[in-house]
Amino acid sequence: MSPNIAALKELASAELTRTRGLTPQVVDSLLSQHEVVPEEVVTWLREEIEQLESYEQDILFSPLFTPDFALRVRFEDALNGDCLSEEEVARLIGELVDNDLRMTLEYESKIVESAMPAVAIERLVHMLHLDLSLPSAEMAPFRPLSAEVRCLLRERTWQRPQHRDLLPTLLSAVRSTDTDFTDAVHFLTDFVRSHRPTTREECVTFLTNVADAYEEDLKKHTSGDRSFFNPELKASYAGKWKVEDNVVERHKRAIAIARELRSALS
Amino acid sequence: MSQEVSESTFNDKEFKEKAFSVDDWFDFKRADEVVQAYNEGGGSGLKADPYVARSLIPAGTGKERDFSYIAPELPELIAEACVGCMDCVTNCPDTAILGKAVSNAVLEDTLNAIEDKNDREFVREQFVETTKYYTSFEKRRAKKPELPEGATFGIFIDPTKCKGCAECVEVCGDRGALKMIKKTPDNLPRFMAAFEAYNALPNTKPEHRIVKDKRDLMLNDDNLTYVGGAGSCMGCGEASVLRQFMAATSEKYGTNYGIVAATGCNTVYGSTYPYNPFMVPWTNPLFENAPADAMGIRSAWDAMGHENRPLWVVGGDGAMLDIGFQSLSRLLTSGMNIKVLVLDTQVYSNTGGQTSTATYIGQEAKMSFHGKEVHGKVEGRKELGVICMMHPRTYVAQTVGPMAKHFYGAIERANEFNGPAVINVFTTCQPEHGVADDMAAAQARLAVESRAFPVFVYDPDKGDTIKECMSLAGNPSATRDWHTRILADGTKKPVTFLEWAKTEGRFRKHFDKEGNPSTDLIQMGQEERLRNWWRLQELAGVENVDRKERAEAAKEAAKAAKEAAKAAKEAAKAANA
Repeated sequence: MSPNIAALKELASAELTRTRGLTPQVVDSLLSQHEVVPEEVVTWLREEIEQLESYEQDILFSPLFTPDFALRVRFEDALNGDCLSEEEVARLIGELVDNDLRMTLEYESKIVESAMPAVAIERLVHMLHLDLSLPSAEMAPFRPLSAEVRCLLRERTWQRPQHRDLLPTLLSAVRSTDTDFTDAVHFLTDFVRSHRPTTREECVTFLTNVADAYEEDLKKHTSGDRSFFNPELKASYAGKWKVEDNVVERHKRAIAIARELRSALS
Repeated sequence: MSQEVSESTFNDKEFKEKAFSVDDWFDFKRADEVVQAYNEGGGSGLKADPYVARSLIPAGTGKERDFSYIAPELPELIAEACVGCMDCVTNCPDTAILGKAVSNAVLEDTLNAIEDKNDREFVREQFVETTKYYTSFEKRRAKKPELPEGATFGIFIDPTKCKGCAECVEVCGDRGALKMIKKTPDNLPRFMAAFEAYNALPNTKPEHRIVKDKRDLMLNDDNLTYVGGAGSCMGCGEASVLRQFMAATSEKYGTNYGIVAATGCNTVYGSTYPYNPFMVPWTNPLFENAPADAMGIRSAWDAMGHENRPLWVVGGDGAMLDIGFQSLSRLLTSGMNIKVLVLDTQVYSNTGGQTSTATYIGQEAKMSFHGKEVHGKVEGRKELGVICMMHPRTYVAQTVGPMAKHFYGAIERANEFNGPAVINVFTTCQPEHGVADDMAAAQARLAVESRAFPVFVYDPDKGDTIKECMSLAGNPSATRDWHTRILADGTKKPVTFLEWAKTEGRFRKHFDKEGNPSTDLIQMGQEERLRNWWRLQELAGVENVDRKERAEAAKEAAKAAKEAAKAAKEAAKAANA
């Protein structure tokens, strides 16, 4: 089925124009780069947003218009398992720009409205990956795919032919384990992006490497040790570090998934 | 620096004398020999080194240092999310993440020279056409074809320098262009190859650097005069500030300036033989005499006709507020054209965390807590900035690195100022402050917001009175006691010293499990910080609205009390009558 462009446009428009709070990062950026102290933020935004150069708008507002995973998932239904062409994405951006959308920012209970910077529209839409295709033929044995999995498989990592070729092997391995399918695809997407295996054998070796790296870290975390780069500083501070429990838990989870997948692929 | 000097060594039975040129300062070949031997653990087999005989380390040898086998993680770029803000490059303490803007043609040439297909693909993926360096240039060029073409922008990690602190990921924040990943035997070589490709690229052209965005100072390779390879801790706030200060100074003076570094943490991590992260002449005197040493160098340079060559003294709070304070005062009184950068960690970091006069009340530092009764320092903090202002014609700035415009403005003005200048900078010391490796910038900002470390500038050339010369610009709610944040639910939350203190491990003992202050000492610390802020407001001629309101309310209350007393007196009188 073809993507529902009207629905995509409506979703994007709603997302762009929703009231969004200024995050500490944007407030810090205003102070750091524009010397705007917090109590002047609202006035400054009202007067200056439209005077900024487009690259300044891009840098300032990019943290607010970067779609997170949950948002990208929300666009999956309207994509209907397909994708837009580059031209369609360009047209969608053009139409949104021409719609004279308003950007609504909230800071300390005050609302500031301004013209929506075109760079914000471009950033949000591009990073939704609407023009990135899903591996289709290779995915047949694994359907139906949840919106989360489709969203993950639409990432740039899986656009590389060598990694797309590897995907059925990896997903078959996932299916043979007890690991939650979505969690495993998430892990694999990160793993393949960062380690770039091209064969099943490389997957096994690289998964071993990853598990070992997490293990090594875990040992340090539990002993309060860490890396030092100067013997004098090491003498003063070694053994004094504490790592939050959730980091340890994350590491343990990654080790478990890496090991399960490695076994399945071996 | 070209005259020949003799060298004498006792590396043999016979006393030898041999010509030794100071031009060898940049002898990378020799430096490489020594550094490689150390990198491979063969340092003891080396011949006696003429540099060591003279207590010299060749400039920039830190570049050859390899930490890649130590750090467990490194950042990975998600290029599509990158906007080219350069925050990551600016805030890195180790010169481990670098930016480059080049034309597509130049990039293609570089890519074509990479033999391995996978490495080539990886390098290509590190580049992105950002609005800052590409689209805005192309739009301008569409109207005026003679303008420079857009450049594609790339971020590269030097795995030999990266310590895995993740400060770059923290400052990238919600943009999500950087992510920490595990370093493994399979991905490390690819990062190495990519950094080789980065090194093969030409310097970013001046027209592609945005002059008004100071973060682009580090887009010029020539300004990266702190090359990394220093032994500082992961995320060290001092090292980031050193890099920023040197980038701003090198932008104008290249490597033609000098640094006199007072013994302290910066000299411990910055001069461990054979690794020297500095590309400018740098010398390390004692803890207590760096300003005096600099005065001697200044006199010699002036006599040699180098009056315009900047000379900086760098030291921590131990050196500048305590042990070398008298020497610093003498320097400032001399009126000599010497600049001072104080890396204020509020503790003696290199010797294991002894209290200094910059330490805050309540801070847990060695020699400040005694038994069960005294949980931290009880004396008020010495305010070096204010003391320096009271010296004859001295430019003073108190600032933090992450407030880039304020920080760089202060360094640039100090360099321009014909006389002594002091830049006092709050710098995070992770182990002593008890904060995470990636929190140097965030904690420095919060220190400003909470009045723990207000920023100010005092420029004696701005007027005849203190208030004409002094600016508190950059502090939030400069006319109030505290800055107040209004939270999403509309409630108001003053960002007090206590709010900041509870985010740092060094004050941990003064808070209960719910984060409520539990000792009188930390309340005393808050009172002291408020009084310091009031003093700065008075000096800068900024009326404190809260104090004014309190004074008026007190006046009204006194008046009402007086009237009530009078009425009571009259009532009593009437009753008696």
